[in-house]
Amino acid sequence: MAPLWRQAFDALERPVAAVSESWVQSDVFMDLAAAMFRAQRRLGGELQRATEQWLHAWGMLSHADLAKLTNQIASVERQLRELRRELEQGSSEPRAPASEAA
Amino acid sequence: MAPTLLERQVLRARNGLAVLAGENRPPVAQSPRDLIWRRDKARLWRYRSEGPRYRPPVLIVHSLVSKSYVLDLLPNTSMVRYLVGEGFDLFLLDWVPPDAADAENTLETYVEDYIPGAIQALLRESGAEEVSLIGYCFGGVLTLLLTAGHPELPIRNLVVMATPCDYREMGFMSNMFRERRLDPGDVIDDIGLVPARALDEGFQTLKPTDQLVQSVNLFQNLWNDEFLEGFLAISQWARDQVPFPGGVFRQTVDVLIRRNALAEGVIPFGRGEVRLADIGCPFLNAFAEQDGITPAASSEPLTRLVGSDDATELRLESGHVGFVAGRQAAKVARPQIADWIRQRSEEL
Repeated sequence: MAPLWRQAFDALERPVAAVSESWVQSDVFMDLAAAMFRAQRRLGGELQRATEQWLHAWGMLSHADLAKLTNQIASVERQLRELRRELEQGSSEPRAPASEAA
Repeated sequence: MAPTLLERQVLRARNGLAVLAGENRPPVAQSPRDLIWRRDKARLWRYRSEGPRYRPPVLIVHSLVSKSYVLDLLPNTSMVRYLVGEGFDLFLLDWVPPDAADAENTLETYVEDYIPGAIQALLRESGAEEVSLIGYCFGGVLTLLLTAGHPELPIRNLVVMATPCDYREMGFMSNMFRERRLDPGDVIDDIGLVPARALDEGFQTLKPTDQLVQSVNLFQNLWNDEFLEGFLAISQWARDQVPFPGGVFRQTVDVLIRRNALAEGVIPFGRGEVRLADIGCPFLNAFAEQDGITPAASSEPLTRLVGSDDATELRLESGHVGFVAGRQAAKVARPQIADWIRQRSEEL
């Protein structure tokens, strides 16, 4: 049998959990959460752009520059994968990238 | 003999300090295995055994949203170890967490390229002519698309565990991406991935008081070494999320969530479509009644949507990880899944 302190905790927690779990599944909560998420992302984007301009003014790299570099390297890696696949298949015809095939 | 109250306090203090210091991380994924094939981030492992007793070999295709060590969590609660012990020649296809190079991966990348490649490697390595597939969670979606779209592949049996089908029943995680709420672009980051943090926060939101309850459970049982080891292993896995490739995520939202194509039985795929009714091999649909991530109501329709004459349903009284860890896994899930595959395999 659970100790008294645990029984007291469960008696408090269970109704709170039931209400909060049904609240997060409600349309009102999800509409609010989506709106807040978008607002937060927009604000974050504005802040990032402002920081980027400031960093560029001092000749420094920003997060966006690093992301751009990462994406360029990733693009080269994807092309290498395609080449490797073509070599493995012994095919001379280039294949459509996966995203186009979708 | 159970420890006295005083002994419990001493053990609780000792274990509490070790947890705070991060010293007692349980050793996970201990079953011996060999890497036999890899392509990009896909890896095919073969578990060592004393010689399989059944054919065909079994291939587990892991989910894209979590790490595969949940299947081999601890030696006494390892699904992998159980299946190997039951005499199956066991392979696991899992994924190194994706990075920017995988951002454009689509469902087709996995279903048309990685999984068929892994099956070929498995057949070559084992000398078998067929394979039994197990898909866990989103890995189940991949195996459904594969089996439906590739009747030429030698798939003897298909088992899906905690696999979503009807996305209207998926609750918060799916409903947040209905029209007029969030779009995939809202959560995909600058390098084209859905960050692991976003997935973790989504799962945390499903049960707002869960973290508090888990902390209380930990405190209550902190004196118990056996409990502590299992608790820390499963907690570590639950928070150890991986990023999700943006390309797959866009398809998931468009095709699986908004069009609910799996529940319709016809899924736009590649340049055409695949039909679940084309799955003709023996099929086992295993799902859990208390699964908060893939609710039973979401998985349930799969049994009648496939075209197989031998389609079985296995309902468990557990949660999402009840297939692989916990009492239900040991007493019900693992033995029943192993029995089902055994009955549809050949003894060597």
